[in-house]
Amino acid sequence: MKRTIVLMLMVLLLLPSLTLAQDDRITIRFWHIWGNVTWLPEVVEPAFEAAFPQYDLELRVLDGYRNAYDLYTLAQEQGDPPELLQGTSSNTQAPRDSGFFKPLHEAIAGRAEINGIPVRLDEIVGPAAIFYQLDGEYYELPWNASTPIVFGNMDLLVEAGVAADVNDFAAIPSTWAEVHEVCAIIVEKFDDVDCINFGAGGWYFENALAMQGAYMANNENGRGGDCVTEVLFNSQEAVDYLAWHKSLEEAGYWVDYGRAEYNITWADSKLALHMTSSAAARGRVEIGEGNGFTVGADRMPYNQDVEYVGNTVGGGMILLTDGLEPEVEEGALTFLMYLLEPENIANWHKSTGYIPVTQSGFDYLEAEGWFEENPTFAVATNQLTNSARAPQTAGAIFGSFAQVYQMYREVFQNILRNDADIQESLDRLKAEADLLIEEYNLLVPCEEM
Amino acid sequence: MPAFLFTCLASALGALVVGAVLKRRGRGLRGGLALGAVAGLLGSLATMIPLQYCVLDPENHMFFELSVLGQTITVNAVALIGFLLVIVVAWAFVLAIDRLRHHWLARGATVWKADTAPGTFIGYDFSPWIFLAPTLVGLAVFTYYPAAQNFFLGTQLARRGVANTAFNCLDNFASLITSRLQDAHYYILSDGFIWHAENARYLAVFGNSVFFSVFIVLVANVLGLAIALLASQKIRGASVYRTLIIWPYAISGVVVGIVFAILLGGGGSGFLNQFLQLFGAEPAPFLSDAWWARASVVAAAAWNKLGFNVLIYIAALQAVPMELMEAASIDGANAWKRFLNVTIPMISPYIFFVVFLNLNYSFFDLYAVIDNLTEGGPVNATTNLVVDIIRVGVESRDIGKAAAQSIVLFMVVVGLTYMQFRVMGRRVTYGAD
Amino acid sequence: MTALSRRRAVDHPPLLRIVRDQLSANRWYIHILLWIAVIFMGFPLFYAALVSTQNNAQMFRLQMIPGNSFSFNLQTVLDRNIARLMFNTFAVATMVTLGKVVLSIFSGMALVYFRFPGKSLVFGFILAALMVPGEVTIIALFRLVALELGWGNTWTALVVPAVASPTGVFLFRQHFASITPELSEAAQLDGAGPLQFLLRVLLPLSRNTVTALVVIMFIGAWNSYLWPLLIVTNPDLQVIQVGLSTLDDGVEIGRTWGPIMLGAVIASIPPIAIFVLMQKQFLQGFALTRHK
Repeated sequence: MKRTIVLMLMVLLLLPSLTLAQDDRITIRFWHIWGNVTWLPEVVEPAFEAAFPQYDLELRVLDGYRNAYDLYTLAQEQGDPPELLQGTSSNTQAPRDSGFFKPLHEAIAGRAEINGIPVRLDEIVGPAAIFYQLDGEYYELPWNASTPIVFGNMDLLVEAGVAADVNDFAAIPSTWAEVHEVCAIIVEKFDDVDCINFGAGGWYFENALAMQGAYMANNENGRGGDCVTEVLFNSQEAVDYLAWHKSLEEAGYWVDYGRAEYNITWADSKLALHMTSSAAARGRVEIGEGNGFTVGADRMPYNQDVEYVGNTVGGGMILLTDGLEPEVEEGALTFLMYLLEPENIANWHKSTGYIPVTQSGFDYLEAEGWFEENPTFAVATNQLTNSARAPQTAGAIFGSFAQVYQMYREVFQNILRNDADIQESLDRLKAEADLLIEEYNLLVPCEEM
Repeated sequence: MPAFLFTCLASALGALVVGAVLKRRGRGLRGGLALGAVAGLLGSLATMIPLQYCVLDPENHMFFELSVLGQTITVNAVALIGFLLVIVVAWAFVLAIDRLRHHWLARGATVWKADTAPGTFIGYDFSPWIFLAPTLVGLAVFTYYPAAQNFFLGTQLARRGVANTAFNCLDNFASLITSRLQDAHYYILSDGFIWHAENARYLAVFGNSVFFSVFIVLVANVLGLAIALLASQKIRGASVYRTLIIWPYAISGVVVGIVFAILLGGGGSGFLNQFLQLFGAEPAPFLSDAWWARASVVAAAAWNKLGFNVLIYIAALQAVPMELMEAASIDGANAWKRFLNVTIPMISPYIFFVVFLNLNYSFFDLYAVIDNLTEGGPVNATTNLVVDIIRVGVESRDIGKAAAQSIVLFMVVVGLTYMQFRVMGRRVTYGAD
Repeated sequence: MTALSRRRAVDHPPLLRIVRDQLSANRWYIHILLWIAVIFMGFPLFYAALVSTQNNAQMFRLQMIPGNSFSFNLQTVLDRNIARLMFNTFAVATMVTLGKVVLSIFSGMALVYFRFPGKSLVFGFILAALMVPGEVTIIALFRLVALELGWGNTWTALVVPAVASPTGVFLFRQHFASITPELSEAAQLDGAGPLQFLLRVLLPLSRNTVTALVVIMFIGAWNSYLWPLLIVTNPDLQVIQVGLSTLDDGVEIGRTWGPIMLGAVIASIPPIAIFVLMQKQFLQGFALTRHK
């Protein structure tokens, strides 16, 4: 009897190892959120595995950034995290504090190439580079960098007499004042067309501050040697931006679509200007093609009364799990460097609209004549190239950032819908955000750099 | 020393209040005084010992402003909540002690019977415990333990993914009423003003929960009863109609949310708006305006639950004795009078049953619909209590604040259940009797 | 009044017929109104089915005829492993339902057919759990299951916390209490033990209650969303309701609606089928416990 049990146990133990034995490749798991980017599973995965037969790349689609990080935390708690995780620019410091991840520069350790692939980190462009650096060292891999730009339905603009022809992208307003001017014409001309839409979210606010050279938080966004202890959301620059936003709403130029599928309105030519992530370029242009109108784009409108400093990046980065076996970590790094290869950067850009984050990727596209053929796709890169590499455009570092991001939205809504006083609302927001920072720092003491 | 004073004060207050109440009910002042004193003592000890009397510590105080009749009053939120807690717990002790006293008095009359009630199995001492064990263990571990854990977490500063925690008194609760990010507006459409609270984020969320519950129950029951009245007629194909009407009940909240999102979304170019424009209607901002978005959630949820209500109401209507209708008819009652005076009273047990099921659903089970239809927006307009718990506890990882919110939600359930027992217990006959 | 009216009815059959006819007329407008209700209830899912055959361009045009992208959408949902998700959901929902029904029957039985000290206390303990919906405890439950028990990412986490059901216990207790005690006395006289009594007498008498509970619990388990969303990360173990949201893949880029709608329709078929097929037994199960 005993022997039977022992035998059965052995068989049970052996079974999984038998199935495993068939595949002695090293598994590199990458949890991402790009369910509808077929390029990843259909091109990248087979190509990477062909180039590096020792690795088995396992892509897993998750539902959104927030979900991805939650599920990753759970996987860490279970002791079986994936090697690579897609992160978001609105949540950088908390993952660094979590101890789950290995700073990229430590893993690379000054090497110039990994598994034969050059390390192209020094080629990374503009704010995308500094956003993921602390003290000049990369903590995460900038990969899907985007920036807010304004897409225009060029046919509507031509019909309204704003643009000379459908290729006249310069007619898309690029200052706060111009938005008012153009919207006045459009609303006058069409009864049922909304002039401009953009989310009442934190990202535009973040960019508006950076463009005007203002900091989000004290101690130079936490990059000036000391930790962030308070946010600067109630600055004059912040008030100016919201006053502009509010004035658009009052004039009936800005329309909030909530979470509704605004693409229907866009497809229906009922929306002239759409400010959103440059990562939406592919989708915007395709809808235009499918519905017979040309889609143009121009930079995010800036405050014409203040010197322009720069935009900041959105999108996200890829995080490397800490505590991996050396050969697994090597594989994960290999994949990261593989993604930075010019051809891959170029294809990633083409299939989404995220900017080519490396100079060589940009050059590759330029050589192909891509930007000449698709000027809509060039806007984001230009905008970030023109942006200063300064702490203002590098994002603020404090651990409760994601939570504070949520609060922006509530306050904006209060200002836009309930006509709350802007300065007072921002004062309150600052007070609440400061409390959150204090609470976070109580649990996770901030180490000064 | 302040702790000792506080306890004495609570005890004295309890004695005064309970004594006065019982005296007015003609049940003796002395017993009331004693009962109140004991309850006040126990209540303050039971709440304040775990809290380490932190509400007395000036360092913990958080203030908020309350506008009453044009006067602005500054209220100490932590002290207020601590005070309320003591009262609630003390009152629970009053009820418990009172009940126990009755029990002891009654016990003399009912001697534990050696013989058995009819039909019970004799000689199986352990079987019932074996039968019950999985259920009891399951409830203890997965319901009661986490519920108790909530009370502990509610007093902590705790973040998911961070090992450190810190005791923070009642700040998590106080922050619910001191958070001043958003105005809460609540009006009834035609009847003017219900309430308006300035800068009260949590009140707004609470208001959303109440709004959803009231209107989902109203819509799903009025429509459900109306459709059931039609479908319970003896007409050809009645059962086919019934089947074709009730099935959406089985659809999940996720599917309801995403399907309604494509019907209602898209602004003026969205499906429903285009359809309505065929009849010359103005496009409505279904998901982007706060009130329209709330209405959309109500519509989606009511649509989802309507089938169940219709099914139960058809059964209820078919159980109304024909003779009663007939008699009413002979007495000259028209259809509407018959409905009001015969049908409604006859089916009232079903109405209460359905209303409370719907109420529970709309208070607690809307997460999937909201998450997939509006994601709680525009901004917080459709965020209800459960959505906010997930937002705070899971998305923002602020476990202590989420636990505090969970406890508030728990209080709501206790209230609803109490109401349910009061109403149902009186007017509805359950089960075997 | 009842007796009176019954006598009258016997005395005047024509009047009864008139009243009956009036109450149950086969009038055309009732049919029309019912058809409106049918369309009103059916349209949302019908439209979802329509979109599931379309691509984004066709959907944005609000095209009201089927599009040409059905096979692409189907391929997409198959690529996202919808078959696996459906199987998982079926397995989990079946285990949860089975567990709930079995535990509820045993608990109900213990509460009705046995005498033991502290019975009312035990019943109170179970009933009071009705006051603690899962949403109230979810934050702490997550900590318990994920951190203390280490069950994250397993079906154990989906099934075990769900099987103890106060509702089920309550339903069965009421149902068993409504069955005449003579049956169990007779069974005991025949020398049957509790288990034999359960299998031979109680279960056959409880078919409707069991069905009612199965329908409600299965639909509930099939449709559960929040808990698996939090506790399961592995797509090979995930359930369909959460899987639907990974079909919703827009983030910054924009959603493709066809596959989402196709997934929604597929996910809805099993619970609808069960509800529709079992509606009669479902109703009788309820009527039995509520009214006899």
